[in-house]
Amino acid sequence: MLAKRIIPCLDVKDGRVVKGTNFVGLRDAGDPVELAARYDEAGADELVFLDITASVERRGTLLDLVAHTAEEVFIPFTVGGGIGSVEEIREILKAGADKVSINSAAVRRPELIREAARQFGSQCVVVAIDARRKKAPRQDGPGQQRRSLEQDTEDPGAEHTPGQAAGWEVYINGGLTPAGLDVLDWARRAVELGAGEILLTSMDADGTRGGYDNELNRAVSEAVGVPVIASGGAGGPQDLADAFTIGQADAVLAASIFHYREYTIRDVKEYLREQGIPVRI
Amino acid sequence: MGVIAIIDYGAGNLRSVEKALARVGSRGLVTSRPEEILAADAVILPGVGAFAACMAGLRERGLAPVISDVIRSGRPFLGICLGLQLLFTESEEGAQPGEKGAGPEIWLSERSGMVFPKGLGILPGRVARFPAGRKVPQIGWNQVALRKPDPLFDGIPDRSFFYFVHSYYAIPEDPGVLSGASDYGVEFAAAIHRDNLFAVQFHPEKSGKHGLRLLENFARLARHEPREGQGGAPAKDGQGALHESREGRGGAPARDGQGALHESREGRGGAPAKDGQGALKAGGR
Repeated sequence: MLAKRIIPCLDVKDGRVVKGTNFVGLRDAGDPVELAARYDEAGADELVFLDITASVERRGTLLDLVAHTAEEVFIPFTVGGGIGSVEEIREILKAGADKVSINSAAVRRPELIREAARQFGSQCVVVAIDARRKKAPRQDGPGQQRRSLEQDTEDPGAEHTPGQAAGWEVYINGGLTPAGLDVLDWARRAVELGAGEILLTSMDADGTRGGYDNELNRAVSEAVGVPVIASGGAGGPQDLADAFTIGQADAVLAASIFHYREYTIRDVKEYLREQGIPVRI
Repeated sequence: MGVIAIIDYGAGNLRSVEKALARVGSRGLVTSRPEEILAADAVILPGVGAFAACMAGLRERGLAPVISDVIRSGRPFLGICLGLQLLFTESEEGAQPGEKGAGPEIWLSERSGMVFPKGLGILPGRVARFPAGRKVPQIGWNQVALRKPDPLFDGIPDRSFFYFVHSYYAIPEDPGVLSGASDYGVEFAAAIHRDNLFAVQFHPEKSGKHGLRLLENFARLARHEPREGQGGAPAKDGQGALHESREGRGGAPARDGQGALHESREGRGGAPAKDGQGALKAGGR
């Protein structure tokens, strides 16, 4: 049976991991390759590097990182963050990444998805979507209620029917700019163009540790025929379980719950297995 | 040390296979030159991409007959992912309604009136798309249930997880070639073994320690002399010779890990699929 995937995400800047550095026994806590190898050892199913470097030297540093990781880590890894062209995708894959994740550039020029899928195959094209609720009161849990209230404050004129989502809007440029696209429409379009997976981040849930936005996860998962990776909001093992059972996600991305060693990947997987969720242990 | 040629046909994740071989102390040589492939101790056909495009890449480089020659020669050969599918007769990937009289790379299937891309035809059978109802491609870690002794799985517990990325799966005409099966709505061929011919649908180079172990096992085969039964006798006519030697092998003594696999299979008896845990514990790692 196909296992649900647990995917730690490492934020990388100038070739160094900028958060999530609390592994015991690391010689160099900021070395992404070493951290990646540790996660591999610990049972991670895949890894994601999110490059947040802004400098012009970005590309060289990133390619070095990818090449070194590919020599040390023998599970799939994805590189994302600011990737804008087929040429850049080619370089990253050639350096040894298994997949690239594209976000804003795909929204600005959707043909990029098609070009990348045609040249390298859909299996290595992950389209990342940053989603924010347009307006919708939710009854799912305290965290989501709180977020809904915040949104209501921001958007007092919003009209809503209790229990009925008004949908989610796509944001780009690191969540700063609304793209004027509906998330479900964009997800479907991205898959039509050749996306092999959708990496779906709830901006509302991200950082709250109050659980994934499973209404969003489920809506996208039902809308597209490719795997959905849920991201944003994990606070504990039950949140991951919910993302699989309620959110119908195929994989979950998690950062802080692993980085700060509140839970090991093994803890989480054993918990999931007890819940009857298939995992690779 | 044996050289393992990794066939380069203009696509595929060749570097990751090469790096994984390096990790297990073996030397991979990425090449599209027939003489280098024919001189290697073992050959890997990797694969990511579209079936027809990869077949075209092989043909343009004159590699289709080279692959047949390597397999006939008795040297270890390993197809990975699309490299497994390409060994079969035809694929649904890229199939379309078409006219009879197609060129060498496509042909008309009488069954359905569709034109199918033609594969290498080394293993009789076809490649089909996963049925509706599941997400396609299958992406992720799935368990491989061992169905017969396969030295590639020496030291790897039954029902271990390997990493898959694929939308199509092979259906061998001869079920006897199946050495490992996985389930994704349908049961599909995860591993194939016929004499010196090995193929896996998953990516061992991306399957963590079990994947590395599998490549290590393959590298060890590459260092061995040709397996018994094929010795110095070059195959007379390819398929026929392979079939004969396969049948002739019958109760051939287990080599390397085969004995262990026999035991674990027998131990599993009629147990339902759920009992993977016991098998894992008994699996000698």
